[in-house]
Amino acid sequence: MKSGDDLVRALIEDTQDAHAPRDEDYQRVLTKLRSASASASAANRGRWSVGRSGLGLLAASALVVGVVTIAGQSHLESPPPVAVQAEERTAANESPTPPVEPTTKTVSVEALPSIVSTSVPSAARPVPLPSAVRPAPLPSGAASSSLAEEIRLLRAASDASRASNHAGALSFVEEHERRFPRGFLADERRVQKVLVLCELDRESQARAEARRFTADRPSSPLNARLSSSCAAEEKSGQ
Amino acid sequence: MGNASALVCSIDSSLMTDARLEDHYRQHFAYVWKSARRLGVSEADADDVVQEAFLVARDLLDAKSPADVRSFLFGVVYNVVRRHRRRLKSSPQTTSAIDDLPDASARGPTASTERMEAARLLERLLALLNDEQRAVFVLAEIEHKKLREIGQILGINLNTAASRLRLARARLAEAALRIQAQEGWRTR
Repeated sequence: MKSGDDLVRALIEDTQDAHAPRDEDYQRVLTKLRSASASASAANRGRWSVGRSGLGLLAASALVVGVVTIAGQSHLESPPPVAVQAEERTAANESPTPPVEPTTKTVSVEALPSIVSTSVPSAARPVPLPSAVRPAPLPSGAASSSLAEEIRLLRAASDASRASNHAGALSFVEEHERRFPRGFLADERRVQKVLVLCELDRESQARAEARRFTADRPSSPLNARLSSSCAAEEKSGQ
Repeated sequence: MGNASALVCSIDSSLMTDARLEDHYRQHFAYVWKSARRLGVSEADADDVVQEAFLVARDLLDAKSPADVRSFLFGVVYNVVRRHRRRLKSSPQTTSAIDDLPDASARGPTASTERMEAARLLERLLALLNDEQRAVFVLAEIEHKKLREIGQILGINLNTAASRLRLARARLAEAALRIQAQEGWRTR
């Protein structure tokens, strides 16, 4: 008699293609995707002055979350970079180690920005700051989406750095850190923080942050940015 | 010394164009669709979830430069599905993934009745898992990913991935035996 595990595996084998899409699925979703992408760009063109890519992000995030009433976790967590070691055993053959409760940090709903539906009248919608205007501290609930908010915070930090307002840049980076500890752009934020700390001559702190990042993300292409920062000097001296 | 202001600019300038979005769509549509369905999205809802996943991916794929695009996309789909699930919970009308799998009595040109029945049975079993366990189980048992990869894809540590997989396997094995005893289900 087969064990329960064997029964499940046999079932999986028998149903390998059970969820495969049909040709008409491909075409139908592609049509919808084109339409959504185009309408999002058109809707945002001229209304935002934060650059083409910012538009893309904001448009996509508005589409993603625009009609959502958030319950529970209200931002999409970014999957970390994937680096696969070929010599590893497959999970199917591995002996699971003793159970450990998930340690993933979450952000309380209250601490996250509210999501504004795209159907909200424009008068009630928060107005994004144009890039020419120095970003002020963000009012609570002013975000149109968590993804857009992430980009906006990092952009604000970037603008502040460009204006040599490094303390201001750090405050934006730290705000991102506080509000989106595991956000889509968490890695970019961590690297940006190192660079800002360098600008502030807080080298030991920058090195500590850089060491943590490199340890967590050894294969990240963002490490290249750290190699040309003040945080790299200690590494070469070690 | 690094230039902090350049970092976001470099992210911005590398964001994906629509042409590249379609390129990724052509390459990965089937995978994203299957992943969404395996994670329990009904056929009726798959359009929206897949579309949403590609829109999110458009803005992140280049910025993140993942080494393994498919794995990255699974992570995106997983998060979109979880959000979708929360949306469904607050909606009066819900369609479960099992509802739109072909009925055992249905006839199809490509799938036998037995395979359809097996698909429904698998969906019944997977529906017993929560989202987190289901994602780990799908990656491990259907996509044959290693625990370390699973941890990276889902943003969890290896022990958590192992724990979820163990719990999922135990739950499904028990349920499979129970269904077999009650309904006389057989496999090849």
